[in-house]
Amino acid sequence: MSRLIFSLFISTAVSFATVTVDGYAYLGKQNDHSGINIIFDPRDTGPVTNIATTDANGYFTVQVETKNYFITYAKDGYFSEPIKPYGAIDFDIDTTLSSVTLIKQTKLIEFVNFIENIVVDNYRKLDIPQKLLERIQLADTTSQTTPTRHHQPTTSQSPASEPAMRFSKNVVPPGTLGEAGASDQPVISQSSASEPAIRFSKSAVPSGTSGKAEASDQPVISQSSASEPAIRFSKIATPPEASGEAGASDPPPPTTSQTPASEPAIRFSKNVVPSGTPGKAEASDQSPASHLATRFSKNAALSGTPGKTGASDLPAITTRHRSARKLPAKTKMGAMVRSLLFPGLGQFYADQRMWGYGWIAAEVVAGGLIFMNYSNYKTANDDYNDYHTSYANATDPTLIAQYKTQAQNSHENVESASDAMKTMAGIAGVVWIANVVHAYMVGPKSEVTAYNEIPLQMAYDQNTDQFKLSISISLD
Amino acid sequence: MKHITMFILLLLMACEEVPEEVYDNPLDIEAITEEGIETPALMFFPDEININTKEIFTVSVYALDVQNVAGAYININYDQDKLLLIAINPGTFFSDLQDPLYFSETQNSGKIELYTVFFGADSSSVSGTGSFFSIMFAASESGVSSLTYSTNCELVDPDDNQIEIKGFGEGVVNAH
Repeated sequence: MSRLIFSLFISTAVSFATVTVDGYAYLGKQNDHSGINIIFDPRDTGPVTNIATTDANGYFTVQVETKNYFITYAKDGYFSEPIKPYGAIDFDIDTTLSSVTLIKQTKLIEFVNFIENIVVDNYRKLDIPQKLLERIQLADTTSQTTPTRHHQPTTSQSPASEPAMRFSKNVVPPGTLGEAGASDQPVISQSSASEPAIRFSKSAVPSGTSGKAEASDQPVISQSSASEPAIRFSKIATPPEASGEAGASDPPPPTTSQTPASEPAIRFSKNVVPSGTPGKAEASDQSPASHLATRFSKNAALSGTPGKTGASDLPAITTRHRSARKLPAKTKMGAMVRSLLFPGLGQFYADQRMWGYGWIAAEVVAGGLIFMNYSNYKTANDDYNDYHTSYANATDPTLIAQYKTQAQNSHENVESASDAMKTMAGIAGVVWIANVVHAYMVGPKSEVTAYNEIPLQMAYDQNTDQFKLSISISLD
Repeated sequence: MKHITMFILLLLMACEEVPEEVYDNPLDIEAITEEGIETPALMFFPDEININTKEIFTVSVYALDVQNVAGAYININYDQDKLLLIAINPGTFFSDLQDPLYFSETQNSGKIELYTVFFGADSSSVSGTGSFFSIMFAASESGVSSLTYSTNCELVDPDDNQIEIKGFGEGVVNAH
């Protein structure tokens, strides 16, 4: 009995023992590192979330109970950073954590805007019809939908699965309208854990603002919040379960509760209709698992099919940005019109570069000859005017005859230059017309798209903690 | 757009008109012959004058392609309502070691009678084309008026033989 009491005492003492955790957290490219919140979120039923704050040197220290915690470094305006590699750690003794540096978010936004601007500018340089751009912009605005979120009352994964940072426009995040009802399921107040999330949004209602995420006494199964330091940069994004209906009777099996955990995604998207949007969330809700990727896309329909998607065991990091802006198909008429505007342009449009250069060269030569003859014409004409004036004012018969002869010669030169100029202009016109006809003949067939989708890929590699951008151009 | 503008510019260049070839010097024998005036002739130079009213202009009386002329009687008619005679000066045709002898009679009727004689040091006559007189007028009224020779003008050689004058030019004054 005494042993039992002693063991209970010991276990109680141990269970309520505290340890000191300290470390450093820095703000990237800043001198003042104060204000970083290090959030210690108990992985189990711990009711208290400890938050340490760094001083100017980035140092923090906190007393926490000996438990397993999700630890997240967060500061407004910076990407929050979970502790590596799994976002959770057990504290049995005093621990000094590895230093963490937070990356400022604005740079990423600028970078995305930079990429976007480059893309848009290049499209404009390529003479994309303005209507097309307007249509794209129109699509940006019209695709805005108010997602209706139906949470699984038994799992209430939604708040936990949405601890993401959102950089969005007009996004009504999931969980806004839904209520995560109280459940016996292991719903931890992940919303709070995920609320160190920083939101950069326009007209965005943060997730969990109106949702009621109630903590339960059930053991936490999901690693969702800790494993979902997701940052979403989206425009008019329809959340994954926007229109999906989550079955009320879907219990969250421990194996499937990994679903959000498989979404450590950072999404930079516009008009993204993620997979699973129109589908019904199955019991396993595996679909997001296929979206381990960080997506930077515009108008991109994600590859995942609505509904079920097999979960991926590998935390795919590399994601793609593929602009699916379908541009108007190349046509013979398009080539002809371009060549009508400028010789060779239609041939370039039709990928007949050599012909394009040839027509341009021909037209340049013709233009040069016109200009040369025009120069001769001007010279002869000026001479004629001078001699004629002298002739008209002369009273000496000898000078009259001399000036007259010179004026006549100059006039002949004027006529010669003018004739040559007209001839060359005619040739230039013929070349121009021939170029137009040729452009039509070599013009592309209609099925060839004017410009393929932009092969721009952007990725965030969590292992290296780097963003990667790749552009591939097909040479065929 | 720039290319199109350039092309249009080239086309405009190509469309430059060749100026009309006009040789109308009243002292150009070929030119006046084409107009039907034969030489020897009496001409005004310039033969077309465009001035503003109240402005002064000078017109010269020329003998064109004459041979062995030693004296001349010139009778000129002008519109006295539109032109005002200012002055008469001797020309260069009879100038030699000494100025030519000349006198004039002006009448209110719009006529000028001029007489001149050549006194040369080495010769008694001159040949070719030259001016007998230069007459200064002022345009008193706007409008078109003309200067004409009377057909009784005479050119004579040193022996006082009359030289046939086959052509007479006409001067036009356009006062604005």
